[in-house]
Amino acid sequence: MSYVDPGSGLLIWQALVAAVFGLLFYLKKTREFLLSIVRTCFGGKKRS
Amino acid sequence: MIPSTSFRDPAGRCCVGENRVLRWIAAEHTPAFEAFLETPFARRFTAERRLIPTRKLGRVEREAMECLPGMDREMLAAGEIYEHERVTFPSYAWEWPAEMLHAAGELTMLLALAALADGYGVKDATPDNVLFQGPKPIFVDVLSFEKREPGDPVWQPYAQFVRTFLLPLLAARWWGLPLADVFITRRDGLEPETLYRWCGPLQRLRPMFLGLVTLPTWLAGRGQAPSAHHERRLADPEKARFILEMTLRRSGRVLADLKPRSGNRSTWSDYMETHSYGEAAFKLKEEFVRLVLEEARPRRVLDVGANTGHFSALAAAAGATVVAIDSDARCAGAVWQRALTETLNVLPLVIDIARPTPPLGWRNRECPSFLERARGGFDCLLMLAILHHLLVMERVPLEDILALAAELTTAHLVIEWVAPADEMFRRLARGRDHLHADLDRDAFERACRPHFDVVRFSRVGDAHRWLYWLRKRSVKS
Repeated sequence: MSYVDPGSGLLIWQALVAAVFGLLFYLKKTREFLLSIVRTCFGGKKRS
Repeated sequence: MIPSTSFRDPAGRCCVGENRVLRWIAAEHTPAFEAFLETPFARRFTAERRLIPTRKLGRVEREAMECLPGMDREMLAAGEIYEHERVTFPSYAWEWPAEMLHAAGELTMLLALAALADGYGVKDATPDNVLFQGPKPIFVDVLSFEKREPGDPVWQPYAQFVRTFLLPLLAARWWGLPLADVFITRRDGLEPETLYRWCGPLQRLRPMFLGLVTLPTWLAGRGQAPSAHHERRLADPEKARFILEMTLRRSGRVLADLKPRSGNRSTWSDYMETHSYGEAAFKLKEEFVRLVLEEARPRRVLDVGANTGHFSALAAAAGATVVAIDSDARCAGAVWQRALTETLNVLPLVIDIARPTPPLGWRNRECPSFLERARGGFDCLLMLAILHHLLVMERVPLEDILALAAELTTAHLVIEWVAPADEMFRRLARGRDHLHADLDRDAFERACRPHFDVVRFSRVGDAHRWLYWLRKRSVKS
């Protein structure tokens, strides 16, 4: 029987969830980029 | 060698003396430690008493320490010594109700998230880092904070947080598993694989179990891939921080979902409404205790068999620091909730006085037993409606019970003598009255005499119960 590292499942699960969060980060960035374009084109002056 | 209660962190050691908690930190780690203490994060949470106040020992104090017997001067010279504010009564996760573990988890999450703003992270996330000052959790392992690598997206103690907070709370919620059953035999909490075995096929697919138990168990077979343990650094620090923050927030949401439900009943949680004597008798009992508290003015009270904490609250309202123990976790949870809501200085613990917590950890020296911590630590002991349980259910001799009481209190004991004719006594005896035929008030007073003098006694209405205020014999005034 092969040795299964106890708790290693949690590490892999964390890595998978982190990968999803990594994708979310790019989605967030893309959204921010698109919003900045929209603001530049249609928003007029930037609010301070 | 400094007598040490913590030794796992190579950066330093903690030493608990009579009235002081000292921490030795190796010289190479002191600049980082002192920089941390100066961060806005540390200052804010120390001021709020959510992080233990810490100060560096001055030269004179340090030199005085070096003269103490048993001190390793070489080791002292190789680092700095800091003193932490002492928590009145240290307690451990295996003595807490689930509500307190949840509160400790919330504090850990709060600090982990707040530390991010100052560029710090927590390197471990276990209940051992938290103590309770009254009902309020306080983070005591200040060395747990370290400067985080900007490109590190991983919350290293995630698995530990799941094993020591989330899974024990899940098990307490679903199976009523007491925390003592988790932590006394398992320093590092519960593994997902253990809970997986306890679950039915459908339960494994419930959302709460899927992320904490089922998927980690299914993935565990793939855990031998070395990549699972490799350090990861991202080129983009913003992305790393986003992932880390999301991981922390998600863990916090799961923790919030595992908040213990209030209002659950247990064998003893309704005792205040269902006790065998009337309301008038209860008022007399309350008045007796109140008078003792007013006259004796105890500073530290241990309430044994506290139930829902009615008398603990009276003692706290009279200005005492109270430790309230009961073997029923639901009762202790209710006491904690009340103490927190009413800002009472009461620390509730799940402890059966007939089977108190043993010493635990490496060589049985890491965590002292309950009795070791409690002995002589209180100037007043309340033993209300508990004596007959110890006599009948536990079959502990009367003399032994009073001898233990004399060890625990330095001055006063308020004890309720419940005669064998009492309804509750008879219910517990279940027809074995002959075993208690020799128990009467004379026998009780005889058993008290070697340790205590009777200051006052009073019958609880027309019930077969008497309240005694006893003063320890060695105490003159």
